[in-house]
Order: sequence, then C-alpha cells, then structure tokens
Amino acid sequence: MASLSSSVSHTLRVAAGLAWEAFQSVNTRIPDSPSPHPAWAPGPLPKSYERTKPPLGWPRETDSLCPRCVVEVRDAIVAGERDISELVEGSTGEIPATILEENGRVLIRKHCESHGSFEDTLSIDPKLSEVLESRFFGRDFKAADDAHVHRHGTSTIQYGRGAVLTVDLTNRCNMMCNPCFMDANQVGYVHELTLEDIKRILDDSISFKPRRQLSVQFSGGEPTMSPHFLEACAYAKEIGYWSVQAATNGIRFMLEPEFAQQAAEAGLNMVYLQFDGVTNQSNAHRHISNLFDAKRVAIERVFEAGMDITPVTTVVNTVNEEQVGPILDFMIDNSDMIGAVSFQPVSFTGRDEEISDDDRHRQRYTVSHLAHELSRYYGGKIDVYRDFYPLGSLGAFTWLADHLRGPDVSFGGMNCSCHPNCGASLILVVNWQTKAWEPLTAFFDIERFVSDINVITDSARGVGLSKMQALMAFVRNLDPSKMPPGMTVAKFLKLLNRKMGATMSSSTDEDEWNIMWVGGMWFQDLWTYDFRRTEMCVIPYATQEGEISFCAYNTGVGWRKIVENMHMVAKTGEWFKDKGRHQIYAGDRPMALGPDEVAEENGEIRLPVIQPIPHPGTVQLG
Amino acid sequence: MTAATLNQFLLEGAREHDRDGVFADWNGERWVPMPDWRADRHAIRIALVLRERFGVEPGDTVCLSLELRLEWALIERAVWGLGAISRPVLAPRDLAESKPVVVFTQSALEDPPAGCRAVVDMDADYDELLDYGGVLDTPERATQFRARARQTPPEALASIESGQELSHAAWMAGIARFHEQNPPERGRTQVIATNRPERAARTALYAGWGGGLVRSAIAAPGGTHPDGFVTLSLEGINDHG
Repeated sequence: MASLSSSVSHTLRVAAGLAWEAFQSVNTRIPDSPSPHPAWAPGPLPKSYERTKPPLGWPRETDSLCPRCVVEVRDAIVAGERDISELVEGSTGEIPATILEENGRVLIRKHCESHGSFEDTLSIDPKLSEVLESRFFGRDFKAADDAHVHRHGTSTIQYGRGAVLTVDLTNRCNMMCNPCFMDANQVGYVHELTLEDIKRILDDSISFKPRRQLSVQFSGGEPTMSPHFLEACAYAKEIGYWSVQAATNGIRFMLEPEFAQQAAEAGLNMVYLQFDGVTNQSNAHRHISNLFDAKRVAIERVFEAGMDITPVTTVVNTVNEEQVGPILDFMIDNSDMIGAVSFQPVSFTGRDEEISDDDRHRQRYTVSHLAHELSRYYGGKIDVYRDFYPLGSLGAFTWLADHLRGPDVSFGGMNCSCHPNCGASLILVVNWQTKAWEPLTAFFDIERFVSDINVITDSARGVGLSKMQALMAFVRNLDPSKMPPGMTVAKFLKLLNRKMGATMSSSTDEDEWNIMWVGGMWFQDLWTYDFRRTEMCVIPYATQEGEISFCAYNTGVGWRKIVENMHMVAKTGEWFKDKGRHQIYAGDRPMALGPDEVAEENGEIRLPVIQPIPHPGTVQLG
Repeated sequence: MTAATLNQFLLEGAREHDRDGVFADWNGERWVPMPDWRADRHAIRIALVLRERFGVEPGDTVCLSLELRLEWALIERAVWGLGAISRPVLAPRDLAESKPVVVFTQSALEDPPAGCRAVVDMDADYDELLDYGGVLDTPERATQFRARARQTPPEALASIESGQELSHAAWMAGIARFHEQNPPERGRTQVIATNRPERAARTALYAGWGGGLVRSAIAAPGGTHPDGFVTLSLEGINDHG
C-alpha cells in the first residue's frame, strides 16, 4: 500500500509538472493580463517586474546613524533643549555607511567627523546572506494618503502594508528585568494609553492605503497590566483585525486562568511569550528563581484557553546562545501546544547603548549565527542554505492569496515584505505525537514555487485559472519521497488547508501534524542601523504620534523616549502614591505558580481608606 | 446546580457559559450584548475599589438607591463577593436604617447617612470608579477576591430588603425555584420588564448570570422586542422563604 501510495504520488507530481509546462507553453505566449485592482490597494497588484527592491549585495552604500550623535540629540529633545522638528525636517545624527565583505564576514562600517569610526558584524556567512537577499520577493506597495500616520522625517515608513502593528498599552510591568529600557520602574514615568487613545490609534491604522489585514500585537511594559487590555482586544476584532496578539511575560495568564479564558473570548488569538531558556537557571537574568516553571504553566493556561503560543527568545552571544537548540527541542516536544518560535538576536538598545565596544563585539549574535547553530545542533538535518528564507519571502504567498481572493475584499492579506536583512526563518513539519520532523524545504521546493507564483500573478488569468495553476505548481514542487516518516500527500494537504488562515495554531486530537515556524528576527541598534530597512518596516509601532518603524522607535533616533516623554501620564512615584503599587516579581525569589498559591498569600496591596466625612458628597477617588 | 452561595454561583457562570453575552444593553438603537468577560471584570473592579479605597469589610452594608439597571447586578455581585450586605433603597427609611458605608445613587444625595464614606453618583462617578478599579485589577487582587468570595458560608447575610434579611442560601433557594419554573435555554434573552429593583427581578437576573446560558435584558414594561427575547412574568417568581 505504501509503495502504491508513493507510486501514485510520484505519478501525480510528474503529471502536474507536465501539465504546468504545457499550460505555460501557451500562457507565456499571451501578453500578461492587467492585474486586478482590489478596493484596499492604491493601485493594481504589481507584477513581479514592477516590484521594487532596496539596494542589495555588497559592497553598497547606505544611510545610517552615529551612535553618539543620535543619543546627544535625543536627550536634548527630551530635555526640551532642542525641538522635535529637527527629527522630522532634518537629518540629525545621520551618516553614510558602507556594507562590505571582509575576512569572511559581512560588516557595516561608518565614520562620524565628531566621534570617529564604528564597525559591526552583520553576518558571519556571506554566502548565506547572499542567498537570503536573492530570495527577497520584492517590496509591497508604497503607502498612500498616509501623511497623518507616517510623518517622521527620514525614519518615515514608506512601503508596505505591514504584518504586525505593535501598540504599547502601558510601560508598567510586573517584572524587573535588567536591563530594560521600557519599564516604568526604571525610566521614572508611567506612559499608559487610555481606551480612547487605543481606539484612535487602531482607527488610524486602517485609514490609509494599502488597507491591510494586519495582526495587532499589544505590548508594553506588560500589556496585561493595562486596565484596557481586554477592551483593546475586543475593539481590534470589532474593526476587522484578523489576528490579535499580546507580547507578554505570561504571568497574568499563569496566575489567573480565568483571565486567559477571558482574553480568548475578547478576541486574543496568540500569545507572544517571552521565553529565554528551558531551565530556571537560563532564565535567572530575569530575577525570578522559578521562571521557567512559571512559563510552563503559562503555556498550559494559554493552550487550555484555545490560543496560539509563540515563545520569543532574545539570544545574546556568550550568555544564552547555547539554549537555541534545547529551546527548539522543547518546542518540538510540545508541538501540540506550540506552533512557532521566534529567536531574536540581541539588539543593544536602551541602557545597552552605553555598552563597550569589546562587550558589544563579544555578545553580538546575528541571524547567520542562529542558522549555523541550529544546523550544528541537529547534525546538519537543517541545511543553512536550503532551509532559510528571508522573512520577506512570505510575501509571495500573500500576493498569490490577494490574486485568488479577487478585487471585492476590503483588506489586503498580511504581507511580511521587510528588508531581507531583517531576518530569516525556516519552516518545520512536526508530528506532535511521534516528534518526527523535517524542514518543509526538504520535500517542498519553495524557491521554484515562488517563481511559479510570479508566473501566475504576472499573467493574471483570473481566479479560476490562477487556482488551477497554483494547484499544479504546488503538486509539481512537492516530493513525497522526502517527506518525514508517517507524512503523506493527503495529510500534508490537510495540514496546509488547516493552516491557510496562516495562524500558527496547534494541533487538534485528529491532526497529528503541525507546521512550526522558526524565526530569526534581528532588530537593529545604533551600530547596525540601516535606513533602507526602517523605511520598509512591517512591524511598526502605532503611537500617539503616528506609526513609527520598530527600530526607529526602540533605537535609532529613539522615538520611544521622545513620544513617551511627550505623553507620560505621571511620574512613577506620583502614580504609586495615587493608585497604589502592583505586585512586582523580582529579587531572585520564586513566585506563585497559580491561583491557589496566590490566594494563600496574605500580602495585600492596600491604599489609604477614605475616612467618613460629614457630607461625603460625590466620591473623590484620586 | 451545586453552588451553595450567590458568590459560587456567579463565579461559576463567569467561568462556564455558552452565550454571546450575560446581559443585553439598549444603546438607543439596538440591543448590544455585554460579554461575560466584561461583566466579570467590572464586578471585580467595583469590588476592588469598594475594598481598597472605601474600606468595605465583610458585614458592612452598601446601599443601592437606583432603579434596576444592569449595573445593579455588577455592584451587587461585587458587594456579595466582599462578604458585605447589599440593601436596595426602596423607601426613604431604608437609607437611614441601614448605616451604609457606601451608597450608589443615581441622583444627588443631600443628606448622606452618618458613617457613610462615599456616595457614588452613577452619572458622575461610575466611569471614573471603573477606571480606577481597572488599575487595581491585578491578577493577585482578582484571584484573592474570587478565593474569598468562594469561602462565604451559605448562612451569611447577603441582603436586607423590605425588612427581611436574606442569606445566600435563601437567595439560592429562590434561584433554584426560578430555574424550575424557567429552565435555562441557550440562545434565549430573558426580558425583565421593570425598573424597580424588586427581589423577583433580581432573582431572574442572577439566575440568568450564574446559569451560563441565558442573556438578560432590563427594559421598561410594555415594550416590543426582537425574536428570541422572552419577557418574563415576574409575578410567577416566588418570594424567598
């Protein structure tokens, strides 16, 4: 039966290949049809030859920042000594940079007349970088009618409909990680959005073209500390966001299972869970002695509530880089609950901007480090050059979906069209029962499939013929003989069908296979900064001052510090005096692992009680 | 129905339910469901402000001088969860007799009772109270609130109304009788057609909340309602024993 099945699969593959060739022999002789112009787009869907790309390859020149000038300007703006208009209208702190290959590495090198020369590593494998850049699918639409949202000078986002919109609900947190550049306890002020702020930000995000079907990710501080977290999730769903996520430490979900359930009911789809290692020791730098145990419980709570989970790990060379393999092992072992993991090579921001050159070079970790470490850890089963694709290559599938969905839709698909230097990922197919797994690219030729997508979308023969071509392209690029043990073509199609909503949802009892996305997302810092990346950022922060590229907000000119200072609610001390303190987990002590333990603890956080007065009148809460 | 107290019953409904909302709220144009999560959070937030800011302790009395509205249910649930006693103000003497520590009112109170720490004007203060409660609403406080609410004994006093003291057990007996007469039905909205906070109306309200299947709408008598809305006959609801 097995040989009959594989024989049938082989025949189908060959037939699909012949059918494809036959169809294209006619199709490519007919001029391309006009591309559809969906209602959400500023123009017709571009052909592959119309899509633009940033300058790639090396050596190349780009625009960067002086790590010292920028900090001086930012601090002066926050102090009121210089005006924010300098960032909007000028090129403050900007210097040219060269990206080049030298001694087996790809470097970024720049020189400031005031502060001297700076250099850092972008890749330890130029060949991998070249492969990744060659797989870049092309930019998305240029944004249109967006001046009310994108108005940040040279940091302005210019391209793309984006993939994930981050909204910081509050900078308050219930941990004391060191260092942290966001936490209210450490920056001295509270910046917290009102519900009106949140709604206005979300309304603005869908007010221009390309009108995009984003995911929205509520972040912070700790977003579940915001009183408006559940309402924010519900409002995002109400106005049409397809996926609502939370970047969280998971503590609230762990301590209060009811909250996890409520978050799911309010519309939260996915938890982006801080996760630094698979032992309590490897999480020790977060100053909770049983933090891994706590994370395990959080994962179970989130799963029980029916939400997806993506653990997120910041990787620092010489600190926790050895955890990369064990973390992926953990994900595979728990692939019934987990469908994705995001590794984030360190970005030196906040107080880390003061890092010494020696420490920076020693701790620097890149996507190329990650790729090679995973390949090494799994004995070559992960092929660095075959299996890793730039994050932006996922845009190919969105283009196909946009064509197949037709013009009468109000939102474009989620399009991760970021610069190829922003990160890379691989996709695994995992059997959550047997733990068998294989990179998708081991049996599916993604590179040729993407090329086929270009042919389909360029020719634009209508929905019916496009679907037929897509099916032929899919089958002809699938090699069942290289599938992992137990996987069949039928099971793979069923798996894809379940995943076509592009969630990373976990398996049901009937579905033994899952797709696991393993991402390497490398945010910039002042030494690696490249304006060609920020202008096509797909994960902007949505703030009271418009939508700002992730890296321009957290590093670069440091829009975070500027925006938060402009809109702070109170100094931290004033806030605590007025509204009381919340529990903070720190001091290298263990924490309660669930509601029963919390209920047993006697500590209460009380405020001064209002005393009886002769004529209380209207209550005064403040 | 295994819950022995209102607190246990309402916590169960907050946790286990199958409906688009626990209440339906009229916004002037249409009925809008209030999801279970919002009702639960609002009740917890009210409770936290009552406890943390107004110092409400078990056994304290909180008066509600309001017409029946869905906030009634949220406030009363908060009060019961703290082990305190709710007292509807149905007659002027109710306020003077009850010695409340907090009064919720929908109009200005010219002569608050002695010992009263706070008067919450629903129009002027309620939203601010919820906002403040939102900041207090941490997992630790919410979890402790629920844990303590569950510990309320059935014989504990829940409310005093029309001169009658009613324990949690008495309320639960009334809810059980209500369910016998009006079995919960998934997808149904029960209309409570009165603005007076009588026991019978509130019994129906809490029976719906804790039961987990039915949605409740409070409306003026005599109105017409969409399909799926069933107006309850309050005369058929027995008084508590």
